[in-house]
Amino acid sequence: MEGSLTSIINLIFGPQHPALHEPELFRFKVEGEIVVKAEPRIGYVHRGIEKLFEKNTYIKGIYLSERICGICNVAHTVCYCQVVENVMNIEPPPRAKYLRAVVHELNRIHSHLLLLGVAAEELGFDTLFMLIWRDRELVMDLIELITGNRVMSAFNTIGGVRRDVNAETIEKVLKVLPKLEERVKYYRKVFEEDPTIRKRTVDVGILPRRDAIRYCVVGPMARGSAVDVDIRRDIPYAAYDEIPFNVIVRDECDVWARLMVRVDEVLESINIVRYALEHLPSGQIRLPLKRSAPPGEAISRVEAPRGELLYHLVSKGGITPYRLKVRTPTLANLLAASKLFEGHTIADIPAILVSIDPCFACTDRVTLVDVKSGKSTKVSLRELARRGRE
Amino acid sequence: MIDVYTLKRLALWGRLRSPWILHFNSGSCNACDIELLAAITPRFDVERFGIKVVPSPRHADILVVTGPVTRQAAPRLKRIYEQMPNPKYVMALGTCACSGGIFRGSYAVMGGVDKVIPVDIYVPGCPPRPEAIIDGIVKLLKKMEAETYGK
Amino acid sequence: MESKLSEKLKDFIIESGKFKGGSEFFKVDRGKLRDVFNALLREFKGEVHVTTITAIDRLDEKKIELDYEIWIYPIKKAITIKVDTPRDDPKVDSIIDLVPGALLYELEVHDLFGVKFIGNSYLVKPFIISEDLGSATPLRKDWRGPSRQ
Repeated sequence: MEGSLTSIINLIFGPQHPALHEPELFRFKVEGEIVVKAEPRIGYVHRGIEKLFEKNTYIKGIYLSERICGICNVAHTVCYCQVVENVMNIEPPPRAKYLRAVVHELNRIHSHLLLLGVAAEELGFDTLFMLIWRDRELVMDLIELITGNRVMSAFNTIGGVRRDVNAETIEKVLKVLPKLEERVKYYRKVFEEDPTIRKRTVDVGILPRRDAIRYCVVGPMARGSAVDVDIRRDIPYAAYDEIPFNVIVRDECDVWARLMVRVDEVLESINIVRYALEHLPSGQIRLPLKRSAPPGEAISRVEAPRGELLYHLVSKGGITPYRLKVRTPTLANLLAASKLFEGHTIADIPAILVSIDPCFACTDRVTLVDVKSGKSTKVSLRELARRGRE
Repeated sequence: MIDVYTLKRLALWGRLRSPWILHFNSGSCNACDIELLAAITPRFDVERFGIKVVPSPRHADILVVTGPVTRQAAPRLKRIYEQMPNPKYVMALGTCACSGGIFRGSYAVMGGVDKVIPVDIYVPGCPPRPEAIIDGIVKLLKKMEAETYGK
Repeated sequence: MESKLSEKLKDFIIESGKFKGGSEFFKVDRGKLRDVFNALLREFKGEVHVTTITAIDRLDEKKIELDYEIWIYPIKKAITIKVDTPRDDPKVDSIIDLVPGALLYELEVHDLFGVKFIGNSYLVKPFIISEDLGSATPLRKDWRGPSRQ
């Protein structure tokens, strides 16, 4: 390589690529097949949401926060409602807290299954992708049953939740859960034993614990690198102080560990939903609506499917927030992710990228180098995935 | 001898029976995107109707755009539209793509898809269910058929 | 544990208090920011997580407030370090050499508020806003939006 017959070329990755369904661009500097540097460019989905919050009332803000990210929308509304409740000095009734936990966990199951399916696809295992997404529809049905909509649940509101569940609904949900659990246990076995998956993920994209802390990663990515952190346990919100559950931590630090953390979390979430529905307190589901908030500042943290989500609200009185800051998990993981690519082959890019479960709609809520024509090569994620298989 | 007219009809017949879709996210929150993806998975399985999601604009008949068009994505959306071969059709999927939705009025958002490129069919909903997406595609096929044979 | 933390940082704290709903905040002098982080990193052996940097444009007080939201792993505790910087010349020392994970947050605040981080050589503008907005700082309160075409 001395004297450099191989020159470094730029590999532009995005913004239109079909597998992750989000317009983002990565610029990889590659030498031969090896990635020497990766630079993420974000901003294609910047919609100016933080500014929009300042223009809209607290009530409209619920629906706006939900639309920061469609996949983890419940985490966003839980966090938003909590931060507003903190400023307004109100505490939702216990039944609402349990229902929030139920929908939050169903949302986590759907998000994790979605990612595991996409991961299987990126690894070249299309059958598994289709199977996981088929079983994900079971969760979508449950979400629809409880909240009335498949994706955007609009379930949480300031001071409680909007819909109650009756005994019949609970029975229906409890009937589906064992079915789902059985399927997920089967997928756990597949992810644990399948040679295709193990070959593509074990010892790929290693993020040591020390680096995980230095680069401030969150969520399953941190827990896959032996960092023991889970907001649900550490700063309990909703009903998590009363629900028993385990925090999944693995110390392999590679892509495989990050996927396994998610598989096991799905199983934990199923148990949480079951426990919460069986121990659902009676009583009202929401407090009378307040429109304006007194001056004050509050912070709310929530464990979204992808990691720690933070809302910071500054109120100066009145019906609109003065400032609302949203920190979404993917932004925290992006920097570490771009370090992970270095030293790996081009074929490993999709596997590593998918293991951070990127959600750029989140990342860009407040907002790639332009696709340079000419010398740079444009490669779609699917093409990359294909190359990886060959 | 096959004349040009027959060849054209043959191409249109093929297009109507197997429309290929390109998906572009111009600033969506991912909700519409996962519902579009759900439409190709076993429960809904649009591939049995010949509807296929393709990775390149150069292979696509229908461009499905989700999300409000952000300032950053607008030039890229335009470029992708220009790269598609004729005849091309555009579907605006979801309320944001139809009108800008909840993000209308933001400094970073241009508005609906029709602010940037011409749209043939609007599928509102936040997000539209996979059934609604399939319905939208079928309606678009009827439109394509009418344009082809109707005249 | 709470008293211990504020004791450790007592040389730097100008003001301390609690947000509604619980977590603590400490206001420190702008020049002492790096010292605070050094003290925290030393105390907790580097296991300090910067969740984000929240910038708040306090228009009537003519200052921009930066809130460093911090999570401390060993004691499982969240705190906020507040720093004020004047609105017309916002500058603050960068902490990316101490906590590399703060890079994207510094870039974001720089892009949306125009705050300069001294010592951060990666600052680019525009970072997340679109290129045609160029030098705009959209989240400042007095920014009126792009001109209508």
